[in-house]
Amino acid sequence: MNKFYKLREIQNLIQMSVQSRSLPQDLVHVIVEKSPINIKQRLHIYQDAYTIRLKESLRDDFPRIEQALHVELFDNLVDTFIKSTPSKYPNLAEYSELFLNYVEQKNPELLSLVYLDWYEILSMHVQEPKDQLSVTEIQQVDHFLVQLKPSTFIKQIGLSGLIVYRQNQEIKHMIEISPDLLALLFYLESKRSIDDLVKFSTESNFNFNFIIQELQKLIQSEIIYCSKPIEGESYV
Amino acid sequence: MNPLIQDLGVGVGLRPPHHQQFLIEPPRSVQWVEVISENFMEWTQYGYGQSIETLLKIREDYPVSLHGVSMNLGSVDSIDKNYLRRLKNLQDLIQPSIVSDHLSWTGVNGLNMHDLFPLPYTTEALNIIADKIKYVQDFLGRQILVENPSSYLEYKVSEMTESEFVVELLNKADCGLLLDVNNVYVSSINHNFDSFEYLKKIPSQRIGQIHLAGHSQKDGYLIDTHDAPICEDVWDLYQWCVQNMGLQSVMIERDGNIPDWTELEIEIKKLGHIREQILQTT
Repeated sequence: MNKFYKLREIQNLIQMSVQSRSLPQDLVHVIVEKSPINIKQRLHIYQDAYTIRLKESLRDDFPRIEQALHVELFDNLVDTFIKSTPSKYPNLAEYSELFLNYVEQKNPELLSLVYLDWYEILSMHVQEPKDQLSVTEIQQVDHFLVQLKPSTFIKQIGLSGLIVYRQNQEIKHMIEISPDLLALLFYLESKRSIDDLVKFSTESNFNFNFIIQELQKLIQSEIIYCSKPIEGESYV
Repeated sequence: MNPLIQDLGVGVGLRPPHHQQFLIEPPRSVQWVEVISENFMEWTQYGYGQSIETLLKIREDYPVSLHGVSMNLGSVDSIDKNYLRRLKNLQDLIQPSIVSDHLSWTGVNGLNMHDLFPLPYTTEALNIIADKIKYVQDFLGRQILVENPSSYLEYKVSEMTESEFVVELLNKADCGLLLDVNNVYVSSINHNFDSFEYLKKIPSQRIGQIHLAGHSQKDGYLIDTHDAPICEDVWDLYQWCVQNMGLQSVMIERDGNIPDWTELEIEIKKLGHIREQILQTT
């Protein structure tokens, strides 16, 4: 008598077959054999779709990695990544973020490229801050706060770092930024008042004029933005 | 609960290459749009994207349908509450006319395989998916539509045909059907059944929306790729649907080889023309 397979068993078998590109023997007893194509070919459709869909998504998201490794090595890297790190996300864009750690472990020399690719996606994804003051508004208020824009992403690599940001809906980046600027940018990950910056300048032995000059450039480049302080909120 | 059946007219699966067209010069050939829910949901770490602003602007001109691909209704895994919460947030923001997902499963043991796997048509599967749909409908506070799948394999344990399973499910879960005519056609070729016989079994009062799309022809079987114009057989099936089941919200999906708007609009106008002809004769 044929075994009756429960839904859980069937789903585990199909998923295993798709992930490993294999034909578990039990599936021969589960799937109907019917022309025009056999069971193996029917499973291949799902196996191919799985690999192609994930691979193409990673190829789209990490063009610099593909360019650095060339197609064959990139495909090998992605194949092993997909096998070792299956997706748990409802959308493929979020799944791509897991590729960063994988590249960091397997190809550390590509660290800055993989972060550039990923931060470009994030920078284009995120919304503009709702509390941003215009230049005119900044001139009219007594106090304001400065902070990195949500579309600005920074990463320290060695002693230097990279920054990706969005200016006029165009994604831009700077690499090998100085340790001083990097320290200032990390400090601006939270909202800061001018008093905070004076304190930061003293504690870090930074020339305050350097900070002011950098802030002006950073505001112009849309790397940071200004907002009004919210009454009663502490920013230190 | 929102009304299940409402004829919104002719729609289109709105994809990024056509966003600008809809923002700058909203086409009059379509009366509503469908978007993929997951493309607009909040990201776990980074919240809503800029694309939500685009959708909200388009929403000012068109009713929107949210069509999901990751609800995983057919899986033995329990419903992903985090996913459902994000869908509910999106629903509250967009106020869609329709919310739908698929009669399929996308993964087990917490994984998402990013594909729509077919179910065995058993009482066990029927009970699992019906309970999940009821849970989702309670959570969202509305009836949802489930889409009949296109599939490339069948299971020996199935106790009923797909159309019988669909009818049982619609009644048991008290949900609507997103009838994908192309999926019926693709599966009919892959599994050798009669598409018209399938359609005759479907209760028209449960159809909340119709999908039309193109597919790819392989050696003896078809793949539901949405990357080609709709074939004549699928147009014939749609005409039969309209003549025998009445007018429902209908739209065209195109996900690969996406043509520019002018080219896609030719198919959309053809769809509108078919509906007008039927309206005139009835």
